[in-house]
Amino acid sequence: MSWTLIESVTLGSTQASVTLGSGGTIPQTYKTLKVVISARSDSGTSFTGIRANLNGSTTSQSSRTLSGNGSAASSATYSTFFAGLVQQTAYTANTFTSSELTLPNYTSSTQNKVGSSESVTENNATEAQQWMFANLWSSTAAVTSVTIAIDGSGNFISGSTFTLYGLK
Amino acid sequence: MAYDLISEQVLGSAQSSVTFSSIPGTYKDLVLEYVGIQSPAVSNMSGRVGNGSVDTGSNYSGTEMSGNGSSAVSSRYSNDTRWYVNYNSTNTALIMTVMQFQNYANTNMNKTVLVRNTDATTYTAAYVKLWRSTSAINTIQLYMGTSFSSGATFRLWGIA
Repeated sequence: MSWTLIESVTLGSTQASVTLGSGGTIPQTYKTLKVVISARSDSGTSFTGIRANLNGSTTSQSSRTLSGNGSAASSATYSTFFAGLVQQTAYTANTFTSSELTLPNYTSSTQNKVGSSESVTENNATEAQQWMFANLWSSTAAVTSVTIAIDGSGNFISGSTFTLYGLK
Repeated sequence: MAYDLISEQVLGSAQSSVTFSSIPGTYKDLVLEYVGIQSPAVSNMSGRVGNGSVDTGSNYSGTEMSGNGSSAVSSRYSNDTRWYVNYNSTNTALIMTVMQFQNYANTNMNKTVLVRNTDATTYTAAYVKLWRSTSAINTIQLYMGTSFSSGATFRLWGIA
């Protein structure tokens, strides 16, 4: 057994969001899901977050982060379930942010949904980002889709990729 | 590359420890994935490993970094009789822990483990652990001061 590719999306043009398992079609036969993202935004000057809205829901989300930017480490809380970060137009050209979100027990109907994500930007300058996210969606609904969207303004650019794997 | 489910334990009732034994030595690395609620309200999940029985000697150490939502901290410990795998500050928070055991069956090196902890109500953390033994790991024990709650899941994966 290995990680099974469930779905992969590569953008041919800018797009505001991507839904993996559109229509609630993520198979309920795996034990753990993993979402892998390589993305860049078409607006902004630094970086911003990428939301993971499970089943399209934008409520009952929370997260706690640990991050480093090349000169300092910090921690923060948000009312958002993050898949990772996306770097914006001022970061080194042709460079995309890498993010990975792990969702264990996604089919559970008795547990809320926890997700661990990690994300790194790279930028040939004095600032880049490395973040860890502890995410919680306070819902016992089984996860049947994951909508990936930029937290704030902007769109994912052409060439951004979004891949969903299942493990059983 | 294979990523095989070696063993899974889903607790039907609260219990204080979980052990994976007779782990085959045929993989390159192991991944242990845990999701659950722990008690008492402020406590640690501890871990020990061994070949046959778990090692209870002072052969465990670790370096840790974590963020609690307002500050980032780092610490370490040496010569302990167990690993501190995670901690819980409540007995209601759902916690996710992933442990990656590198070269667990190699008899020429001490054993290192990477740990990621996810508790959106309290902290996120990354740890590195060391077991000072060249013995192959075929037993992993995780335990609490009081208990893992009913419904906690423990999955041991082997990467070939």
